[in-house]
Amino acid sequence: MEAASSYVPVGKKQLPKSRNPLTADSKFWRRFKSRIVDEQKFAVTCVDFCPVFPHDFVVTASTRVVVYDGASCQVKKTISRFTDLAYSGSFRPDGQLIMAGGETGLIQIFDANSRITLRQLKGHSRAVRWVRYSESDKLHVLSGSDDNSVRWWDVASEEAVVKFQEHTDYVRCGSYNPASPGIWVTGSYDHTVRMWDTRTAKSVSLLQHDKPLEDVLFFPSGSLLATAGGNMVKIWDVVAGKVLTVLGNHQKTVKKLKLTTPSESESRLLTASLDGLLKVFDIEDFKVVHAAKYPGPILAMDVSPSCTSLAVGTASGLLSVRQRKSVISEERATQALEVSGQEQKQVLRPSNFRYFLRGAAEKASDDDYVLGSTKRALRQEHDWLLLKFRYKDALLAALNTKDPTVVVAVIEELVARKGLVQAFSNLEVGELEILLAFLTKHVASPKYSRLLVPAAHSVFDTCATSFAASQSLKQQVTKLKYAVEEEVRLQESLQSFQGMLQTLVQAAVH
Amino acid sequence: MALRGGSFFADKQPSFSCDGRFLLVCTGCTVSVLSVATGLRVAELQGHTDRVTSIVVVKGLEEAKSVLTHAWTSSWDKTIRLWNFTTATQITVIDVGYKVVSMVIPGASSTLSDDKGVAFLSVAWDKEVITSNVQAEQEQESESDEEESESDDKEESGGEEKMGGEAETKIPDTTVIRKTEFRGYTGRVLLLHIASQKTVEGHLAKTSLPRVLVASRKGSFVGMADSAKVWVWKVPAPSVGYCSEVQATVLHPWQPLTVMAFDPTETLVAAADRRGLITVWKNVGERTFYSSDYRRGKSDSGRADANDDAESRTTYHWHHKEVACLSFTADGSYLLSGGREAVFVMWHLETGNQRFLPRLGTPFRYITSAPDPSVFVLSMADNSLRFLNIGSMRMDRVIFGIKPYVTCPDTLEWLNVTKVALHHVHGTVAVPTANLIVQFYDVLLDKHANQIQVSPRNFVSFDHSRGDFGQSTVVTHVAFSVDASVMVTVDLRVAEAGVGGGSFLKFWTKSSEHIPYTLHTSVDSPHGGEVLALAYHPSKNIAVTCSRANDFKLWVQTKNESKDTHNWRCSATGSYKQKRMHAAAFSHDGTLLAVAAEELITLWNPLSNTLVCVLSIPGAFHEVVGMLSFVPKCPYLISASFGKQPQLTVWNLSTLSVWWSYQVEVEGITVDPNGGHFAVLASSHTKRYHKGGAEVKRNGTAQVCLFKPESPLPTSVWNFKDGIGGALLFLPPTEEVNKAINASSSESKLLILNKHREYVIFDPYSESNPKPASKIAANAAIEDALDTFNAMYLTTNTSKPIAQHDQLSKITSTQPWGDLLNAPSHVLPSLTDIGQQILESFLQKKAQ
Repeated sequence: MEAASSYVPVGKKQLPKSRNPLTADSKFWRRFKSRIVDEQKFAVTCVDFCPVFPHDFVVTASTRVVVYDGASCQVKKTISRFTDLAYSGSFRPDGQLIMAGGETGLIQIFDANSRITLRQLKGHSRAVRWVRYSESDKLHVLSGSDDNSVRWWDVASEEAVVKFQEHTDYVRCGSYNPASPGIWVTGSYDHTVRMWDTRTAKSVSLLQHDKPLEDVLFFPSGSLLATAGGNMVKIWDVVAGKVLTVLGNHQKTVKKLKLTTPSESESRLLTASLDGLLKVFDIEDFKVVHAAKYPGPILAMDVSPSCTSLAVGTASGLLSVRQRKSVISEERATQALEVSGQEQKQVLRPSNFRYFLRGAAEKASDDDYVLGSTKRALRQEHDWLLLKFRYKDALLAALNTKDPTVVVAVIEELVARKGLVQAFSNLEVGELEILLAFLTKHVASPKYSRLLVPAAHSVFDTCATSFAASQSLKQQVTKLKYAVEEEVRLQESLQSFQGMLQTLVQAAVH
Repeated sequence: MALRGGSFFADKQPSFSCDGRFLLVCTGCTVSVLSVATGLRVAELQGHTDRVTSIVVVKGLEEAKSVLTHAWTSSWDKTIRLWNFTTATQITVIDVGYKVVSMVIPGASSTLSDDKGVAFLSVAWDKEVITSNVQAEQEQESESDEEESESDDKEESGGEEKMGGEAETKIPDTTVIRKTEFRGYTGRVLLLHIASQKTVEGHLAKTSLPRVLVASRKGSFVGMADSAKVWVWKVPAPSVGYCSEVQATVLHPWQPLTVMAFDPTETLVAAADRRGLITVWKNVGERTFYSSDYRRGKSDSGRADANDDAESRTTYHWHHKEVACLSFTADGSYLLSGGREAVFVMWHLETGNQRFLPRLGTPFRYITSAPDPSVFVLSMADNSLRFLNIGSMRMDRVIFGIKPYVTCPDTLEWLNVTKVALHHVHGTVAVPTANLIVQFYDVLLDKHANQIQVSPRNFVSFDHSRGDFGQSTVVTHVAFSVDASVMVTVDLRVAEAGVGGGSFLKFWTKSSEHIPYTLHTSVDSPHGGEVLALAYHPSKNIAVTCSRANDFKLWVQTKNESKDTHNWRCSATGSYKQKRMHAAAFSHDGTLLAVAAEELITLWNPLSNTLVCVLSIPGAFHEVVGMLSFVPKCPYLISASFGKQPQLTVWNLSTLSVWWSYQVEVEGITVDPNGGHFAVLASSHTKRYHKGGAEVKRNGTAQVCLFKPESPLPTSVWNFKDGIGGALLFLPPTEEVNKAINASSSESKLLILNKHREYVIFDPYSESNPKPASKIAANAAIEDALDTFNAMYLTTNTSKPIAQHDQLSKITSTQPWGDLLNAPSHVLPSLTDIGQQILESFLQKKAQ
């Protein structure tokens, strides 16, 4: 029989499921949280991750080559041995050495730890914009220069072993074929991609891209090649010498290509362009699966081999590094485990606190009889406060959860109890700020705007006198105003866009 | 035969029989005897002709407890009666001459002895009588005698009008008989000699309103809480000759009081006021009632108030709203109180400590003590009786009655809410009530079947002092699929300062026998505005909602092949000329959907979502069609419109024309599922709308008219007291229904609910039946009612039932071309066709 019923808790507001939930890719890339945003003095021209854990990365900007710690993202070392602009700072595959080309044509090789200049490769007459170590051995370096030549250097002797001179314009990019050692491709501003064999001084084959090339990249199989020039990215079958597909998704020149190493998911192709967009392609069908916008033209981009960090440099000198946090902590844990793996598992003794907790986490097996426990109702803080009719405190408790579904549910409950205006009118200045910050953040969200827009009106009606008193509140109100104006602008532009589309659709139908 | 039920238990204080096996409850004009063990009704005391106001069970000696089964009742019909409630027989009737609001008979013990004691009566006293002189009073008395004889006549004819059913002219309305203006009542407290059946000369007290009397348990005192004072009378000897001989004392509280109680030892008087403050006076009436030498040495210095005859005054405050009921436990050490907060509070008087039983979900009306000292009966406002054991603080038993209507907020007066929905062919109906509850009530067994809370919510009482009347959440619409496997509900939240209002549409499915329904899909704010109407398709899983946002939506259940689940989604929306849609109905074969768009009716094909045609009521531009119903098995559509000139219209869909119409305000329409008939609930007086939207003059009586759609002459008409705000429903003629009302015909039965949710079920077609025995008017009254009906509508009304062609010509219109162009553009004839007519109409006007 129904008697004194128990308190019905105010749960989260149930919202209909989104029609197109985030794809696995979007979820994956959204997990990259911004770690540092660093302002360099000049444009960041190159970012390169060290293949060795902890994946330090080297950033080239103006005359400096800066080494960042891969885990903490702090500056580790700064190499400033260039008299003019430095280009293409990168690691040797084992991470021991760093090399960089320069505006003067000089290539310098440094020790990654002591920063001592170990070798200087002289020979290019003009700027060296691209230089890479050979991945098959640690002894050779290939460099492309604005003097139209590509050189194959023996590092130990500081001498150019082979010199390729078939390009007719600046050579700005190149890639090493991972499948067959000694095969390289370079891309030049003469619209061609040439494949070189380091054993001969002549190009093996030639691909016509039709645009000045900014980046070339071999796929791990060594038979596919991606070339970026202009706003196009072309995927080539190198064996057949044919274009497989053309990706025209960028508005401006594509500056950088990168393939992620297949760690968790399949490999993805990342393209970064001067239009400020970073796009991720599925390499099966070459469809865009994710895109991110950066404030300014992107010049340099790289992903760490473990696919945990993403570094992007822009022409305005911005360096943005994003990291997946869960992965970082996991990695640290595994590292720690490896370190402590040698230690034997200790036998618990009564001197240890955990001795008294043993068995607490034990699960009942299938044939165990489980006694039901009379648990006390687990109530949220706002529920306790609503029980006591403390409406303002309940609203604040909900705001403190920072979960908009909870706040919306509590506001609806207060409306049903006819206590919302009372809750609003009791708010103090500091508490009003929290509320306004919440409103600023969520008022434009279509999920909540139906409730929050009138709620914001109500706040203004009831608390208008407090706004005049406090400067910080005024600022909050201004922010809220901007948020609303931004949304209105968006709606207007969407409407005009819709109008444009409608005419197009109409035209297409008839 | 007719079946009656659905009484309100919690209106008056119930009373236990001496042995505690039965509970006597006032249920309208009758007293129901409920068995405490089973909660079922064992007997019904029928005889009073108006509402019963109080019950006094005659208490006997200890050894004669189970034998004594007598009880006195008082009523608005100016009589008090003595009953044997096990045999349900009436023993004595005493005419008092006044409407009795409350009666106590202190120490009502042995009825067999000659010395029967005195009864205290609180009566309703007509206001103008106060100003008149003695002569007028005598006049009035003689008049009231007349009235009594009238009511006796009625008794003989078997007309017991708990629910009305009396011809309009016979209503014992004070305005009719005294021919003076009725201004309401004041209260008087009188004394009655039971043996001689005469009132004692004079009166004990005058009050601004009739108040409720309370007797102490031992029977030495009677008390009354007036607005500004507490009266305490010492019960006089039966030989008392004048009221002035009765010893009385008056206590003065700080605030207007609501309720009072005596403790069992008769030393304490407790009273509670509007603010929730409970005041307890100790040793009341020492100076007045006991001889002056009884406590001679005592000084007056420690007294609570020099003017009041009490030793001390203690206050207890926990309730923050008015206290509805107070009671002492049998040992006098605890005080029990309950109020609008729906929290039961138990005070320890010495320490002032409280024990609570919170979240009972509904306000308190009465607390009644049982012969068992640990059991109390709580009469709650949701028409339930709860047997509380104060030792364990648990409910032993709950008896649910049919729950009352929700008090809709004033802002939603215009909303046409579902009042009752047929849930199951075997006689269960669904009624929406307060706190978002939908109750399933078995009308055949007069028993609560189940209930569902549409949305989980805590009961919160609102502060009426700030003008917060009504609920903030209301279930506005309920609809069922034909097999009752799907329930659709719409609940409405009232916005506070413009925040958070809106309708919520919910689809429920039947999962098991024990749980009535489980929530399947919830749609928040299905439209931009409030949902105004809801209808369910007769054969397919399609529902339609109409809204204030000028559109309607079709909701379809679709199967998700991959997951093998069903989803509800909106399949189509429609609107017509940006008109507000107030009503919707599906035809019985499911091929037509009628949606009312303000003054027009649009017909749609629900399967192809196409507009079929538009019907417009000639001459009605300012009215709004608020109800629609198809008559099965014949091509008729019934519509009811509201506004300045409300109208009931029957459309012939084969010719798409008005078949006939009445200018009458309709409260409810129901159609016979067997086809061929429909019934409407029509109010006798037209609502008159002021600018503010408030209406004046609402006589409670309504007519229930049974029509054949072919003919404008009603087959039968019944007058129905308190019918306004009621509802109608045809019950399909299943075996259970026939069995319940002792009928064997295969016709549908009609269920009529009045505004108190009392109902009657009867066979509207049966001619031979001595008509609905007591509650609905006798057969003879039908003609009477027909006459009144004719008088009201057929002769005075301008829009007589006439065929479409005549009507068009008769309606006067502001435009010279009449209603020629009052139709949607796509059904208008071409301009060349009508040009001549328009020109002719101009010419006519000039000629006039």
